[in-house]
Amino acid sequence: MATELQSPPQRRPPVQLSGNVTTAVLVATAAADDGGPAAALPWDGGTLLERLLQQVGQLGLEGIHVVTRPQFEEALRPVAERGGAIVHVCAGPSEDLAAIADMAEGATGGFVVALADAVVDLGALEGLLASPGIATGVLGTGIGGGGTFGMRGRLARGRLVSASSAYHSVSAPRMSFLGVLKVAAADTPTFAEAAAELRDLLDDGLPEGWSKELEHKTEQWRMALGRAVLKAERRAARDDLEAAGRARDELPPMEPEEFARRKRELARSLPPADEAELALRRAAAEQDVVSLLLVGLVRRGVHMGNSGIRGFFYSRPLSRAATAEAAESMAEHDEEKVRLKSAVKGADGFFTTFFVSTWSRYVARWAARIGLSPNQVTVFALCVGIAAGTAFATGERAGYIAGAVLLYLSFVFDCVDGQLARYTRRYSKFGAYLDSVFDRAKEYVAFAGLAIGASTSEVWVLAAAMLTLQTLRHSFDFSYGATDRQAIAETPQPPVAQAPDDALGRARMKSRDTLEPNLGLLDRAASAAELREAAEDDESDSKETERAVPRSLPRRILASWRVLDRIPGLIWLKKMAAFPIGERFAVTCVTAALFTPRTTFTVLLAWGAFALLYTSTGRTLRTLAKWRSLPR
Amino acid sequence: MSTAPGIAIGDRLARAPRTTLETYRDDGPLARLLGATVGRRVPVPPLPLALIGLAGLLAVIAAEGDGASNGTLAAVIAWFVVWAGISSGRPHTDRSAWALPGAVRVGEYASLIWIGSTVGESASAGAFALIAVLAFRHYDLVYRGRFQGKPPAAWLDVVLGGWDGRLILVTLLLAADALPAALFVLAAVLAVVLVTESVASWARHSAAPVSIYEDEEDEGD
Repeated sequence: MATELQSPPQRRPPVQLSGNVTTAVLVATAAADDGGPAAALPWDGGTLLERLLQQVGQLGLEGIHVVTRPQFEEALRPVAERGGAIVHVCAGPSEDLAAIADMAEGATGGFVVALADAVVDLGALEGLLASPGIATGVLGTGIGGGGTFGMRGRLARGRLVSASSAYHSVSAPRMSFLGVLKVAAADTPTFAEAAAELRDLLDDGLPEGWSKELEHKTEQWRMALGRAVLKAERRAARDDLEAAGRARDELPPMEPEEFARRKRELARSLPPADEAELALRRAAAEQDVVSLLLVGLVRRGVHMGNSGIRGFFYSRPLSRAATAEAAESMAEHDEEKVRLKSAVKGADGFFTTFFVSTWSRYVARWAARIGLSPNQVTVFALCVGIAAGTAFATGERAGYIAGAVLLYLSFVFDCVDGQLARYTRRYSKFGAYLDSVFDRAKEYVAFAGLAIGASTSEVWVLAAAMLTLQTLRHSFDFSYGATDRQAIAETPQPPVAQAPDDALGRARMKSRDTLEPNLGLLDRAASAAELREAAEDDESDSKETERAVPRSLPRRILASWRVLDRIPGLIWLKKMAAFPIGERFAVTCVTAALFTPRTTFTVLLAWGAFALLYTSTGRTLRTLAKWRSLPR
Repeated sequence: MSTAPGIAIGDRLARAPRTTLETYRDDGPLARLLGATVGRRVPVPPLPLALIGLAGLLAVIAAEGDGASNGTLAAVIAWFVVWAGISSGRPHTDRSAWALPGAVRVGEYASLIWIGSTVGESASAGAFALIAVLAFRHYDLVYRGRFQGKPPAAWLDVVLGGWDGRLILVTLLLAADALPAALFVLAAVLAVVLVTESVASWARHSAAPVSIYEDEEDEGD
């Protein structure tokens, strides 16, 4: 039919959502700088809320609710109802929570709760909502990515173990929460309980320490703004020098004490624009029940996954000017390109990153265009791997060379299947299983092929030894991970009524008897850590740096080990030392093509043994470090 | 004291492993029996127990190499089975317990390689084949848990004999002069059982997909 021919070729089929999420709750309670709702700020001929409603519709969610304030009702109700949403007009956060608790009570499906005034790429929402590896979880980013006012969180093995709100603090934060929370159907009852508990807490007046935490946050934000102003001043002065044809470093570095003093001075009397922004963000934080619900779930011990933003666009403008700015940077940003790039797994090794993923993603896109499924690619990759093993088994030089090429290609296709699954969001548990099992199968088929090719008893022993070494290394990986996750799951969470997240948080908050933060950050003398950072701050444009405090000897060794990551290139060397899959395939291919199977196994065994020693040392240190910190 | 100890032991053998690490160990009935009877009376964490067994095994392999007599071989493997078996009865909850499944694995695979090389000829290839099939079993224990949310069927623990049962079986086959052929036959039989069970489980599973967590920065490439 002609109409079929005219349909856009790039149209994606709707993704399948995981966790049986059926309902969306959009929280439109923050005010913009003009006093109206931030969700009604203009975007692309419509409003932010319209954009989000359209995205939620594309994701195929059945029930859509918009929670808003009486003064925003007039501006938002028509838009919301046009988008098929039910509008809940609530006087304040406690009523918001009551409404959400009512929706969740007895509901059979899962929920997605989002700030209605954020601009997010659809790809980022899909990443959170469609991934079967995340049941209940959040959209998150690195600590700097959340900006000055982002709510922080802490991850352990990829799991969110502490979250913050206007009234809750996080110790040793490592990520920022981007205002989108997904609750799988299985956790809906807990979600309803958390909402009801938070509603009661707000109804009874804020619990002890909550308003003080908000004051503390405001002081921190004020200080961060002061620091930004000072850094901008210094940068401008250096720009002037450069413009005058002089060297930038002619401006002498500031003494750390002076830097800290000046920062406080600026923080106390911020420029009016910053002052207005601070007031706006503080007010928005007080209305933000999404963060509160997140803290409620985390404190109830719900397993909270984290879906990284991975280069997709996110912004929460809150003013007309900021919206225009966001629209400008979004215009420069190519969502399709990011989608392809984000399909590449984050933590790959050196060889995979530089010799495979550089072009495998285009193969993945091509596979998507001709409609191949990830599982088809997985099976094809295994076939190529078996062909490689067969070529090795000939024992001829030509066979070794052909086998090397085939093995490399099979590894490329092996990366393609996962990238294709992430790119097209066609995930399946069975596909992931098949991929994992076939990965191992290919590697071991290559070993068998090489041993057949060499056809001596001695090489069979070497091949079996390499098989043993590799399965042992995997066994340690799996078991160490399982122990770690178990320990994380068993760590008790404090009740949601408590503002700081744990003992460390309480210690940081100084006053030991009240659990409350010590106010007067601006009047207090700079800490040693702040002074250390001041020197760095003056030179660089780096983002907020927040550091953990190492203690015991094993912890200190581990911390200094992590510091080495800042040396460019060293992080790749560290990854290579662990002998990841890409390096193993590369070694097999190169040595098989050039030398004999005996050489291949000797190199594999030597590097593998080194890697075993290297990773086990790190884990033993970590085991000791945790032992020391266990009793409290 | 004597109130039906048979029932208590029976209960322990029948119960599925309690923790992930116990599942990963792949103990058979004999190891569980040793753990239930001796293991629970030994007030020592499990890792040192397994390491005593493994250290003895590896030391003799290094000293004797492929010239070891069948008697030496059988005695040393029995030594490993007893110590590592006893360790299965200790709770795998302390911070060092993550090394246990690996220790058990090395003991099993190294013994098979050793047996293969003492026989010579194609027995080393046979040992490789058997280890490759066992590797499938051991990855399956992990990946099924991760992607299906539950470990492989419990009857496999008995049918496959666990690492302990297989080591004893192969040692007996060695004594009966059935190697190398028996290694290939055993590998083939186990491969058929394992793959069939896995395929059947996925056929049942695909009807009811569930969300299972795979947090990022996961290990195991």
